[in-house]
Amino acid sequence: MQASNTPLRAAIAFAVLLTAPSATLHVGAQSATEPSRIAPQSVAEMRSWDTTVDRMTRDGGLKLRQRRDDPMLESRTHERFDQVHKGVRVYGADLSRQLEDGLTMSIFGSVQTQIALDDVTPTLTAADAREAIARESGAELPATYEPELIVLPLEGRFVLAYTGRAFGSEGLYRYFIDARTGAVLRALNDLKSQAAIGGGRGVLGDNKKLSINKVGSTYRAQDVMRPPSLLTFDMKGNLQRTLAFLNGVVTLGPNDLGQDSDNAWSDPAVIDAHAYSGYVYDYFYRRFGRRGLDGADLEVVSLVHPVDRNAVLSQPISIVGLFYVNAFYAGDGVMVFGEGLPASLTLAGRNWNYMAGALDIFAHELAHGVTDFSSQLIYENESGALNEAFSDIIAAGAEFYHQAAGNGPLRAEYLMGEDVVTPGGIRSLANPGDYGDPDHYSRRYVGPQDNGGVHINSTIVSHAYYLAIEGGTNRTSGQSVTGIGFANREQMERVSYRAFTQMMPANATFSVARAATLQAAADLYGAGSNAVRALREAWNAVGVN
Amino acid sequence: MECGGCQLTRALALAAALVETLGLSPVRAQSSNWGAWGANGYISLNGLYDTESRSSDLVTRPEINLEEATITASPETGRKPLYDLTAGGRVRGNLGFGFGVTFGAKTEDAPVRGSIPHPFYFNQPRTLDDSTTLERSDLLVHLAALWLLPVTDRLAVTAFGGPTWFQVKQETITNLTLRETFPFDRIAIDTVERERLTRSRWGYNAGFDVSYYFSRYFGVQGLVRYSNGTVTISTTRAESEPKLGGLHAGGGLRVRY
Ligand SMILES: [Zn+2]
Repeated sequence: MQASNTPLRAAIAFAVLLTAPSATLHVGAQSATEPSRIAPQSVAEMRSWDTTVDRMTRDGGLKLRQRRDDPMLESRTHERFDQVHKGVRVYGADLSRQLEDGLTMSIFGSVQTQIALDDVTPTLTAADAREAIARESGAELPATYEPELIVLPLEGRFVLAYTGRAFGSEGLYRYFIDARTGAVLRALNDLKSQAAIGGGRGVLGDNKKLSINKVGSTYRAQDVMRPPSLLTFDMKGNLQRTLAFLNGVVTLGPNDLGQDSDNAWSDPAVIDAHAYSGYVYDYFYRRFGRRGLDGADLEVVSLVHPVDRNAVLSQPISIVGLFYVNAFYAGDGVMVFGEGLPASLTLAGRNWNYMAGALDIFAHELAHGVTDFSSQLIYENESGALNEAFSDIIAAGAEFYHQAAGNGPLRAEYLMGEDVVTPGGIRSLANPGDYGDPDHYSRRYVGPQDNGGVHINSTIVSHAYYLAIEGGTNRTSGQSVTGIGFANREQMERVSYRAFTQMMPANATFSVARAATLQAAADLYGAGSNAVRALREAWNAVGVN
Repeated sequence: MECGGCQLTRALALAAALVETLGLSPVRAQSSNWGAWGANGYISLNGLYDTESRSSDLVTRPEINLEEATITASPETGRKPLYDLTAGGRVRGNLGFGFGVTFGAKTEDAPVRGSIPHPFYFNQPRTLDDSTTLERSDLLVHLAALWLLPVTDRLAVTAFGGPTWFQVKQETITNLTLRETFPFDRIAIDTVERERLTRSRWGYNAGFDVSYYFSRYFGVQGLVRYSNGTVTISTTRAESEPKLGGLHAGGGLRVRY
């Protein structure tokens, strides 16, 4: 670390590394609200759960949320169910079922079997709850904002609550408001953040094509050639407008789009954001047959220049951590890419360029969107770490898909954000320990910071992914893995995609992830396949059973 | 590569066979018999057919999606009917001087192959395999020395050879728009921008005819003429070297005067 700017750097480091939720109540695992986890180990057990699922669906205890045809295997479909109690969704209780020609192939999830809550009539209206969230977050919320009524398992009891997301001075949080008393039960940091940055000139000076919409004599950063609309907005450093948009107070119009008069674009952050938005869409489409974040070509909105880079020294720490040295998925297809720091400033001994300049960061954030529309992995503890791991797995996959393997700028490897956070990036799937992250379950972080270690512990999972492809020896366990080989990496990408988007429940643990990925590998490549063997060895090597 | 000499040899062999078939064994010419010339010479009006199948690659390199595309159209330029007007006049003895004009035009399907840059990515061209129509016309002006061999009073064979001035008008593709949709892997031609290029050049011709007169003035003739030449069509956007002429065969009416 350099001697200059030490107070600022220390403060930013806190903002970036300690993404602690400002939970007003500590959440502990209580036996009365501990759900039954569903990860059948035998056919008989699966049949039993299958029967239970059918019965609960008939009785109104489960509600089908989504049914999608399998894009990889014909004749297979995937169903997602939410648990409902007297018509109200039970938060964090859901399951996924895979069918082949109507026959159940797998079930993963969790359900609450004993919900002690008779009255589901709220005292507060949704408008009351909106006010409470606005008060707590400091965000301006429009009249159309409607929190959802849920049954919340909390400290051994079940509470009728409202939940909704809001973007305030502390960032994007999910709030839980007691539907009877109006008390704030929890505030969960719901920001899918990627603390890494990027952008040189025109994405590290490389030449990219952009899919542009020409209107009159103006060229706008709106992709109208791909099935979804991909929009890149230039916030021109206006933080107030950025916040107003994220809170739904203002809408952005065509004049907010990145623009150019001669179609020879000059703003590197706009160029990269717009190009990478398409690159990632293409990756999901070509690799997995997925059409966008929701599988139905949801519009994607990328915001660049959310703040003024040169004003960083006068910004509150929370703003620096969110909008300068960070990128995040803000929900509903909206992504925000940090502005980076002036070249004269370093943070953690690194330079931070425009975040939009790194393909892996872009893919990571969009993968959060995919998770949002599929497994909805809850952003805390192990499910949160799985959420983060999936984003890193997709990020690495997209990089290898679009860039040549190698070290250095615009080359694909197993580092995260290395093109814009220099030198070295922020995480390594190959050697998590080099960045202080765990490579083995025994080293997992169990404290309250980082939403229970969602970023920190993600590397246990993503390292297993790395080992399953490349092979090698886990530094902690000393166990060796024979990988499927770089040339076959697509197999592990597809296995991960299948497990994470189609089979994993919202509250999955690492152990469920192991079972789901092995099931996915067996589905795609056969129970006796190299993929299944490598994956099993990899999970063993990182201590997840 | 075509073999011009072979074509000529083939043409002469064909003519010989024709003469044989008609039972017209050439009789040794008598130096006093110039009846075949008439008083001064002859004019013939012919319908010919360009017997060769011949295509030339017309290459265009327009900029598409910020990169250079390569588009190659290969129209069939042979195998077409031609109109021909030929005149000959006696100079001295069996020798004479000939003049001919041949014209032909056609519009035909041309296979179009291309390497078309991807809209989103550099260095990831797509393959185009489609067709379009291109128009082409040929004007040939022949000058020739003639050697006329009377067989009987009614029948004569003429051999000739000399320079030919070729003028070719060739439509080329300058650019095109594509029918394509996400993910832009498969492409087809939507519209074609064309340009007509005119080029001319000297080449040569050689051949023979066989004429038969019904009366003092009027007769019919069979004509075989081989001509050859090439032009280079090269602009900033297109390049090609179409082959000109070919083996033209046919017949028509002949009048001597
Ligand atoms: Zn993330």
